[in-house]
Amino acid sequence: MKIQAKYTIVYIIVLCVVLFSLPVDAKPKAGFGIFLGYSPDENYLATLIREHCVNIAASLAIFDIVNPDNLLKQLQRLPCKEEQCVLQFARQADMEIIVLGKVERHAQGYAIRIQAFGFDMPYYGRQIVEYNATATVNILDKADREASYIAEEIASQFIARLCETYRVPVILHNNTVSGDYIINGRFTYYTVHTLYPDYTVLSPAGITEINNNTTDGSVPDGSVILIDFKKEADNVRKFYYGRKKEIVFKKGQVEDSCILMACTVPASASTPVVVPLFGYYTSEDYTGLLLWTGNVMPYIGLEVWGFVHRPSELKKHHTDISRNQLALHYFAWYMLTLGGMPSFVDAFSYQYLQQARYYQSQVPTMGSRTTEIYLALIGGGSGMFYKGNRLWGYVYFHLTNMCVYGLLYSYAKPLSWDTDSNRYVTGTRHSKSMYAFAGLLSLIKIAEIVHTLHVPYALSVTSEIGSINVLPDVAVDTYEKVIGISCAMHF
Amino acid sequence: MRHAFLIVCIMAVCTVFSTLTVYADDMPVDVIIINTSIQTPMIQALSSMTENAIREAFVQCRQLVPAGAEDFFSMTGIQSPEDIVGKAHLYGVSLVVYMRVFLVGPVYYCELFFKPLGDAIAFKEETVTVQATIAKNIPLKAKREIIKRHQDILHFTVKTKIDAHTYSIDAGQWHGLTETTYTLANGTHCTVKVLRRYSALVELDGDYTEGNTLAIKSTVNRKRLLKALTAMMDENVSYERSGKYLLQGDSDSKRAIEACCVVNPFGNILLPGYGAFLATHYMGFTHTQPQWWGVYAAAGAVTLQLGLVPALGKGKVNFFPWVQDNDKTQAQYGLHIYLWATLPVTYTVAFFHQLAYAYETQRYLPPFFRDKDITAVLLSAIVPGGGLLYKGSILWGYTYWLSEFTLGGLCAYNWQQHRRMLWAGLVAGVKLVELIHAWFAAPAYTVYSNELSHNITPLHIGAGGFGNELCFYAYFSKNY
Repeated sequence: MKIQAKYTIVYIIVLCVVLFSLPVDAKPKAGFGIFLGYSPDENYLATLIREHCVNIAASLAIFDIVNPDNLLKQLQRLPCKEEQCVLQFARQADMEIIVLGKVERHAQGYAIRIQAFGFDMPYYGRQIVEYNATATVNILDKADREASYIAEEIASQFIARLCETYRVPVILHNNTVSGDYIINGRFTYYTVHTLYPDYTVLSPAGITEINNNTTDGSVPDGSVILIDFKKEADNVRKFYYGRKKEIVFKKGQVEDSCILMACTVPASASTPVVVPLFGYYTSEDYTGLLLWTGNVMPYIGLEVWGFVHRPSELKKHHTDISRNQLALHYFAWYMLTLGGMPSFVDAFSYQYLQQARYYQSQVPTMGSRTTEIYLALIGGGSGMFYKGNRLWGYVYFHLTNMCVYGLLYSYAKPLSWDTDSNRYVTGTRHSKSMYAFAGLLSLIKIAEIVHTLHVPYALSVTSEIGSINVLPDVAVDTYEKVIGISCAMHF
Repeated sequence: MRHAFLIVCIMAVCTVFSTLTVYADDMPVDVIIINTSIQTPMIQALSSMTENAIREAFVQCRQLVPAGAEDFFSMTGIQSPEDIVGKAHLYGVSLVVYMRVFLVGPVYYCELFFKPLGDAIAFKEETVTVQATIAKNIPLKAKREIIKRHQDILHFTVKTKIDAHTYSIDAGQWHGLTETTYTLANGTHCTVKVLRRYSALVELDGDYTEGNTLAIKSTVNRKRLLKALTAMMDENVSYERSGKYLLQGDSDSKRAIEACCVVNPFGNILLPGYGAFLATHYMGFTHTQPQWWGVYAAAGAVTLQLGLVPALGKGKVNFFPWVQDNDKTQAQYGLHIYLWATLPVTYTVAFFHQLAYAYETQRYLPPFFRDKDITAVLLSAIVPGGGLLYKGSILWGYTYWLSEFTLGGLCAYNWQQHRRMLWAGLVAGVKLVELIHAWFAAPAYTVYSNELSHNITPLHIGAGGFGNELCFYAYFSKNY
């Protein structure tokens, strides 16, 4: 058998390539595979998301990214496109991670699924993370720049999830970690056990402190630690949230906040007319209208009642004026001057945030720290509504209203008509309960301010599909009319 | 010497390659999907989407690993589609699904033929046909048929016995397994020690040999999957048949509120009954006919509401309700107020009736149809029978309106007597029943029910031509 010299050279090259490509504590090699989309718009969005995934992953510098164009070409040439075949291809190409995606058009928008599979310890071909989200937007209606922003936001959410979940094994030799990472902190180290050929497990063997890649104590050679990228995940989230705020909110001006402060009383007073008509109805926010009707209308009813049965009117008939009647009258004034503001903020911030969410335009008034603090201070959930959080907004709205009413009820001094002296006799106020309500109100206010300042704006272009079972909830199935009990928490 | 060097090199390469192929899972294929559709451009796109939906159905049920025919050819080297059935079982394939998408007139069809290749599989040999006028619903309906045919049990096979209690099995993360302990169908336990994508190393109570089949409860909630599919079909039909297309971009929801609150009442004041039909034009309907009995019923009701008390007072009482003359008893006064006050409700019922008829005949759906149950309840809370009329159930809508209107009238007439609480209680009872009915009632619109219908079997005969193309067809189908 005569083998030509050129084959010898080829063998040597292959040998070198294979030897040097062995994953010895190098950065994990990540490949971004095909992101499927069938229709032109699906394909467009899928391509954009893939490009941004590659860019964001490259900017993090925690992966060694396989040339995305070459990988795409190779995968397109692959005769079998099934998951099994793609995973085998990725494994044979020495990748540690391969990412695959799919975009599907639904009636109202797109469903996006991105999966990442890992091939090294501790994954051995398993799926690391699956990201499912929906975006209620038509990408073809968007300009190139807006479409790119939307895709980038989706990509950043996926990469953050990947960084949060992914673990890289690093082998310890002579109590030292070698490789591209600078490692500090407390880690569990594992020993590798092969239960059967192809079936290997990592067993925890102890905990060690690592400073600049050197362990404090003695750790058996060949032990493995798993490092994570949670900090990077946080950084990605913070960066893209901050950048979106910069893009979609006009730069906050102090004048805007001053105008809002000056308009508080007129805005609150005009709530019963302006909010439903020019707020919810104009922007076709029927959910908001329904919530407003259920949550705010009863208070407006009380407001009207309080003004109609005002003490001056009752005094004309020499009737006794109860503590409740007085409290309702005071409460009517509260609703007129301040209590209507949360609804006003909700109706208009919803419109603005909706525009901002889909990068429609730069919206005014939003994103100002001063306005945030002011609205949180006047309370009733205004700050939460300003940030687009309706649930907490209404929680604070009801809590504040109840405390305010309790405070006013305790403050009020009932008047009874004394027929003998032909004049009103003033009763006493409930001082203890008044202070109790004032204290409670202060606590709620403090909690609301702190909470509001720490809650992000509801700006995400996607609603992520994912749930963990936490709270019991009685539900009626919308489509199949099945009454049942489920435990779920959407997050 | 040169050969010796080469041999060393080759050995080194082989050694390195062998170290790279550890933990190599195999490439399981349980189901092959064969697309036999005629490849015209439109059908090609739809059939490709349907094929992917079928594959997705198997993936979501996590029991049988699917592969397209072309992919299977490339994996196995089979050259001809005819060879699949003959050789598929050799590769562990247990089911072949043939699918064909075709178009007959305005209706898309998808025919699925299931060919099981063993007894262990839940699928029976059968042909299933689904139909839809909205193309996007064909993949969803095909997917639904696949999910319906799965069982809630995951079967897996012992591949290798490793020691007394340790085995490797042919199910892994793909099948929904996690590193935990499961209870098998035979009551014993199975602890997953090491998990791979398509296989796992498990500890089993009991003694098993290679090829033994075991079963656990499936980790997939099929009801949730079916519900999600129904929701997507519902969303598609609500979107594609939305009344906004009649308004050329204008908002149908705003128009509906304006028509209901402004246009219709004024229309009915001018032309009682017929005004309700005219108001439907504000929703974009043109060249439509009213449902005449509705017009007569509404006009009759308005006449009754205006004329009942004067008739009871034998023409002597004042026509206007706010005037209580000596001839008008207290009961008549109360009834008179009630009848005039409920005139807007009568107008709205007449309007909802004509709208329901127009939507049914023009094959569109009313506004807010994505939240139809909530909308129906809200409408029923305000207008007697409103929710049922909104969902297209005209007779039920009229039944509730007549009941509540009559009981309300009796309540108003007897307000000064002891029995008023009885009538008020009856009104409240009927209203409660109506609200529940409005929530649970399925929409009666044909376009909606057809799009969400389940599969058909070929039994019914039909024929016709379409457009100017003189395209005749004959097909067999039966809805069930």
